[in-house]
Amino acid sequence: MAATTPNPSPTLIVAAPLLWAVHFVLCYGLLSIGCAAGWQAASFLGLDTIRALLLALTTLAAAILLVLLAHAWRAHRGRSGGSQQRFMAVVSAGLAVLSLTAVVWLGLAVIAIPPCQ
Amino acid sequence: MAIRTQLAYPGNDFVGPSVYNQLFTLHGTTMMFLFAVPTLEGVAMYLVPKLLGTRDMVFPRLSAYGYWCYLLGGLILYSSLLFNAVPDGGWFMYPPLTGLVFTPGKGPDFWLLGITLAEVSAVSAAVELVVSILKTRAPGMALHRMPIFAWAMLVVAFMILFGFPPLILASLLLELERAFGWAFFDAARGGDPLLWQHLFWLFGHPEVYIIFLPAAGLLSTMIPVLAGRPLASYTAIVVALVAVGFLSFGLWVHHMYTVGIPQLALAFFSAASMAVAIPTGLQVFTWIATLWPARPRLTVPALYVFGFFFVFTLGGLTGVMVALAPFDWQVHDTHFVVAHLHYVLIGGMVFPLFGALHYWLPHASGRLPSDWLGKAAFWLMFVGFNLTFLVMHLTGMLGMPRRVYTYQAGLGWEWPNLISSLGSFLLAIGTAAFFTDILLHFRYGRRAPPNPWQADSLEWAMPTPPPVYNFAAIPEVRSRNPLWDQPQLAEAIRQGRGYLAHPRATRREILGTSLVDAEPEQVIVVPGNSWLPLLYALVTAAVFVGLLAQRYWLSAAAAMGVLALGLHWAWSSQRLPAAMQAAPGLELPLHPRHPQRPGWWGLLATLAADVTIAVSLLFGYFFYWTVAPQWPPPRPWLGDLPLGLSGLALLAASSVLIRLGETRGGTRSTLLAALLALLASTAILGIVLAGDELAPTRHAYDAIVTACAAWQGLHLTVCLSVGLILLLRPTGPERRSEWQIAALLWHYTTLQGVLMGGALLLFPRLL
Repeated sequence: MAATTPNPSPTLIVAAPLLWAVHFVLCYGLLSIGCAAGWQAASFLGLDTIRALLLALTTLAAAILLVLLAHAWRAHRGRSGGSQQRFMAVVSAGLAVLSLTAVVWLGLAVIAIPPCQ
Repeated sequence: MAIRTQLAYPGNDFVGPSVYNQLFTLHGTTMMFLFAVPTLEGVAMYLVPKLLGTRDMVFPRLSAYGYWCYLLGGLILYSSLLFNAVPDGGWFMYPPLTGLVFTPGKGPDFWLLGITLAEVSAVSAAVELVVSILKTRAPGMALHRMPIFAWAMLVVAFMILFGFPPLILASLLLELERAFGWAFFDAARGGDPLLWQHLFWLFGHPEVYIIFLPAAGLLSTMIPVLAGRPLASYTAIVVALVAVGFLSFGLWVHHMYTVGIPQLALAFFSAASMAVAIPTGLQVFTWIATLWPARPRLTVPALYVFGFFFVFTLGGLTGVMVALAPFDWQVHDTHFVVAHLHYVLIGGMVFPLFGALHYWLPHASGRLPSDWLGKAAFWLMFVGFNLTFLVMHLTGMLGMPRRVYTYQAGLGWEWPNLISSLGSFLLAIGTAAFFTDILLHFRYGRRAPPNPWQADSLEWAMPTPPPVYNFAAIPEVRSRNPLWDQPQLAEAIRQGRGYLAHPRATRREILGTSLVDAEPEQVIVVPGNSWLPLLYALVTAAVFVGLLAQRYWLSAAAAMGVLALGLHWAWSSQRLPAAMQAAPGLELPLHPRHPQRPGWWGLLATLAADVTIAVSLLFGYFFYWTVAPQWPPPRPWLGDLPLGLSGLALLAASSVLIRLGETRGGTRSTLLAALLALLASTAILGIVLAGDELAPTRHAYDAIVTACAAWQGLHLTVCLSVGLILLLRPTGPERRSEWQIAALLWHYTTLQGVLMGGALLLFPRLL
């Protein structure tokens, strides 16, 4: 029989890519609705409203991903867990890094390209 | 071959334009829908239970149903040949070309209905795979010890659940437009053909990875065996698989760079397209690192693995090139893209698949295929393939467009086309040699020794060819590479040391284990042989045939049949004891007594597909509002707000009643009250819809609102039927688990109703 260990939650694994997906859909939706409604005309802190909102979303998503990454890293460093826990921690850390890359790339595009053209 | 013969010379008239259009449509469609996905799912159905150390998939009748649906769907598509109505609008079927105006006749209908039936089969297989992989692994096979192929199929199955429904929906909408004139894609009536492109590619790009990931899983299984050492990083591969599963859904618009979407939105998709290359690179480098210190023998599977490396890496590189929007604008719709996609698909799927077929043949037949013929076939295919498609990059750069049936001399396209055509014949000869080898080996192959490749995975612990029950006893697994680390395992299984080692004549048993740690928690009794799945698939197909032949009475009757058979399917059950001994000293409940039985998990997976359809419908609704011309509609349907909200409130109330029954043990009276509330809510929502008459042929607004309502209506009907079953069935100890399944469906229906109803009632008022 396998030894009983506290159940690490499988949702931890998919948390980071799920966050990427939500961020991606929100950005795409916001851009489409914003352009249809003409929000780019108003400006906010020197940027048009749409891009300001997109950058805020991106910063938020990146911050949460960093927290997830730190959490996974600590779980990995802590020696208490068995091989199962360490595996889950490394997988979620890896996914957090990849999701962060994708989120930041999207953010770079927001800085570089004007909306609605 | 006919396609390449036509293109061998400028001005050729081997087939002519209309047959050429039919050829490339059927070629693309067959390869994507009827070859790639079903073949890999078939391989998975064979391998997954054996790799997981169990006896069968968890829903065998569903597997059978899926297979029959696939067969009938394929037959419907190909029967178009008999009626001289072969679809010719390309494998992606863009309207308005495929609309009634530009393609009268039945061609697109054959495609839409046949392929939808085949998709139903893919979704049912996905449900089956998710539950089997999560819930029936051998004891001790915790997630971190699960074979990589199972990881790959788990990710793929989830991708199918979220990726195929948008296409199923789009096909149904287009069919509604063609058959009844509903205005989904007609720009003049407020529709938008771009909606089709969005829904199609929302399926279409994940599809590419749905095809690649199983092949990647096969590679991750074969490469360590060829190298004689474990994967360089198991964890990296798992990370890569899961990441691809997600990121591949952020790519769909990269097939639509040229349709006029804002540049910033294009950049989003371009970023995701680049990001998805990282995990794929991670996998390729892990495989290289695994092979690096090893001296693999050049067996036939090894050759295919190396062929894969060469071809797929090139395909991946051109993929990154076309992921860049400016480059794509230059080569869009040229033969460069044709070359790219064949490098990815043949390199990424066909080579690994052929290697895998050769590798697992001794397992299936107990005989060894011919080394000599296998190698000859590989080299013919490899040389032929590169001759055809490497040159085609050049043809595309020289500006030759795709999907043209001929071209003029003097544009510099003659030589590359002739070389490609010759290469394609070599490729075909190689493929024929491969299949000849398979056929011959059944008769002339030498007897295979046990575990001929010295593999590490569980399937080689059983005798070959495998007995129908796979494992005489279900083993306990303590390693990622069980046969390398637990050498006594094969002997133990043969001697019946393990779980469920005492076969019974009256029922088939498999072990249900917990999701993360794979600890035994229930004994699942799987059904025996039955005609029901075939009958069910035939009735399902009859619905589609009725639509195709415009015999709507047939469709209606068949739909009733589907419902009735579904109820029968759900009703029939076997009388089982409460618990049994699964191993010395281990008493486990049988699945009807376990609160979360396999059916509950199966429904949960199905709801993933369901929610995707609902979300796609809402996506369409908001897409129209933001992008489509002719919007906002001249006379928007608003519905009676107070009445509508009260209907939704009643729906929520019925769900609360069901929830009460769930926690306190359901009684008939609670159920009756919930059913009445549901019925009343259905009636009220019906009145709200009817109050402001909708005309789906008038405007896309009416059409999409009607489609949302129909989707919710379907769920309400199923909920009512399930509630009735529960009401009429004798109460017994299985009540609790049955109630849980019904409740899951019920709560989902409520959630969907509230979200959809809320959006439709409130959004137009906000504007």
